Amino acid sequence: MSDLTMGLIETRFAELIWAREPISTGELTALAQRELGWKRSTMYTVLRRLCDKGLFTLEEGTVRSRMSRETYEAVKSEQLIDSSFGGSVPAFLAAFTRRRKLTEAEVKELRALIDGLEEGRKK
Amino acid sequence: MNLLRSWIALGGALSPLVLSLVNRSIAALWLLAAVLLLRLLLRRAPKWVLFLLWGLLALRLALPLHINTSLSLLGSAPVPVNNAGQVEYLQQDAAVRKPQLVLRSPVGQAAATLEPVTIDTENVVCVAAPQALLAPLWLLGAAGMLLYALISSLRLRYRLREAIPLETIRMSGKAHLPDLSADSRIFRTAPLAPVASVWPPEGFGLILFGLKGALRRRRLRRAERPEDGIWLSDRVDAPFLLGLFSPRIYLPAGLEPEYREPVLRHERAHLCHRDNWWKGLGWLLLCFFWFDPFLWLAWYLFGRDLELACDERVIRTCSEGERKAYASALLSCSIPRRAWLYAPLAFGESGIKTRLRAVMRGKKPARWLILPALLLVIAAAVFFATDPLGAVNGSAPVWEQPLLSPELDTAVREAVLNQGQKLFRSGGYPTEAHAALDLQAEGEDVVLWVQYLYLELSWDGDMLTETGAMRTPARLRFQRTGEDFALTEFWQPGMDGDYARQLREQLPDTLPLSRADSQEWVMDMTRSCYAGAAEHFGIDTDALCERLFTALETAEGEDMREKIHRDPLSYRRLLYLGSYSAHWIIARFLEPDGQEGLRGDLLWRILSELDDSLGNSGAIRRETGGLYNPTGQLCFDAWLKNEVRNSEQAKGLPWMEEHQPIAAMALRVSRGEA
Repeated sequence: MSDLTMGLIETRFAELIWAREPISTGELTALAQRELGWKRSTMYTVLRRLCDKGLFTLEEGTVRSRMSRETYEAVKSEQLIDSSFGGSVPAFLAAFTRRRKLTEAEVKELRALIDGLEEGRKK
Repeated sequence: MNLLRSWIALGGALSPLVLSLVNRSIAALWLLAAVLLLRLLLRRAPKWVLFLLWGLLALRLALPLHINTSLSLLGSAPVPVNNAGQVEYLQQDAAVRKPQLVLRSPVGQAAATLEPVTIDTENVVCVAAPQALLAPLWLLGAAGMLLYALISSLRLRYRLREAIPLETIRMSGKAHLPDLSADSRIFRTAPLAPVASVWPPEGFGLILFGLKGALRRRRLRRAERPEDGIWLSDRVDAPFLLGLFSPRIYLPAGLEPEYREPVLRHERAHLCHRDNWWKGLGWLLLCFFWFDPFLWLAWYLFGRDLELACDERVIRTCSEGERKAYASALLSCSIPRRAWLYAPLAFGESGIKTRLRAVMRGKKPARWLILPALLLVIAAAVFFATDPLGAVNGSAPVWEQPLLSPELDTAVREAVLNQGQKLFRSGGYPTEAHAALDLQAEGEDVVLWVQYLYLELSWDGDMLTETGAMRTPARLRFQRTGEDFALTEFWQPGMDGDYARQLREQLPDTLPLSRADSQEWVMDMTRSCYAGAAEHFGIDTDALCERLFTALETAEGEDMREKIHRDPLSYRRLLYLGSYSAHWIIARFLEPDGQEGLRGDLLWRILSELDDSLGNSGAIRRETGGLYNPTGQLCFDAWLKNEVRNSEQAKGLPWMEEHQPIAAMALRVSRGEA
């Protein structure tokens, strides 16, 4: 899969689609115009780019998503950790927590998550 | 071959302009050196002082204005100053003015001919100076730069289509994305082409194409009132200011929110200073002077000064904490070094170390330096931005044509005829004419510079033809005994392409090359030669004029211009026959039936070329009833009735014989005198 990173503005556009999909191109154009101030051609350019990335599809004048929001976030995080931390989640966490201490609640959440994962592995 | 000809013709036309630019850029180097020095000296002074210097440099380059004073330091090296007051580091090559077609005479010596006839090409050598060949390159360079500006502007605008106003982000609250913005590089934007973030070119492109768009945007902005024209874009790496008439601030979408404020203050400072305009004008200047590497350096430093000035302005009202934030923003936005070439008014470009240091030091600019700085600027202007006076005696040399005594004149004539006959042996009748250029006495000797025309003409009973010609400046040295002059030296430059260089070496300071090689006497000298030949051969000039004119009149073509184009030789010969032609034409006009139609027009056209005080003057127009295109006969009648008669009443015939010979001739002929 190609690099899924989206810029801030592309993300807002994607959010517009995720919130209302499936959506016709006409509606999307109007929406983009209203929310972002884009022309039709601009909207189509960005849409095509996102479709090439594998996020959305355009069929018969309707835009659908190929992966949900959550899937996107997950794949993106994967890519980030792969490229910046050699695929090592602990490395990522170490880097992350170097500047930001984890709160009590977050530690609890993490523990629960790890326990759940371990259960999954044992099974 | 045709391509080469047009290239050379273009080069010839451009050459004076390019030469002027080259000379100006060399002269400006002095000022540039001063500016660079003063930049270092006046580091602590408020930055606006430096911009006085930059403005001075820009004016020096842009304006063809020359103030010649004795204080100019440019005069410390002896350089020629031309009539306009400009220093001529590079002089125009003689052959550039008119790349002459050179005809090989029967003796095999190259000679300058005045007849642009069609000759078999193997006898033709095109003499064109290197300057004529190089000049069109300048045009290509300048055009190339403008094109680059245009193209990169279009590309940038295309890229920025997707930008959205900052307000949109702010209004909708925080994005739902996990904020991994500890490192802004995580937000990878599409890789920028090398020519991205191209600004003054883009801003410049706005002048040319975006005016309409800019105006529309302005109206739009007023209507919708989004914030201040601050926009976000995914596709840019650094913040910058863009646009001339309604400039916008563009921020990279991934810019950390806490850095937005310092960045905006910086960009607003640019806006306040109108830096978008200054940089644009600077780029325009650079388009004209693209060949000057020092100017590119100046451009780079100018950009840095703009940034430093903005930093200074922002820091002025910053607390220590704010300064730290500003410095961090600066650091995080620093973009690769290569961007200085075309970086827009970007936040984090060139000279980042200097800027960081300045920001962190946070010292206010030294006020006390303002006065000495201004004095230094004025000094720089006076010493480096003015042009020196002429070489000799501290005053620009005024050239006056020397007057030759009859004995000297005869001596010159003999010398030229001898010289000419050494080079030509065409069998034609040798004639010569000369114009005195410079006369110096050296003890017993007289050193005289002339421009001479040596012409050999042959007459076959029907037509007078040139069989050999040479026109060149020459230096003659005579030994004087009483009223007699004996020739001791005859020097003239070779015709083998080294012409200009040799001339320049030999010419005295009092005689500029442009004068020695001037075309202003060509026609007079030629007429004098033709007149000499006409007398020698006892030619019936009226009959000759008649034949020439008939040939011209019956040439192919619908109108006057075409006929002259088809038979340029006859036309020119009529001009060379000077007063003989005038006499004949006047007689034709005074014939009882007059001259009709094309014939009359042609006759008038030739007459007015023989005497350029003629022409469609007001008196003639009035007389011909304001006709758009009065016939030749009408013009002649009007001219004779009004101008000529008025002139006689006002100034008298003897005066007219001296100053308006054609008019005087018309009077005499009309009265039946010879």
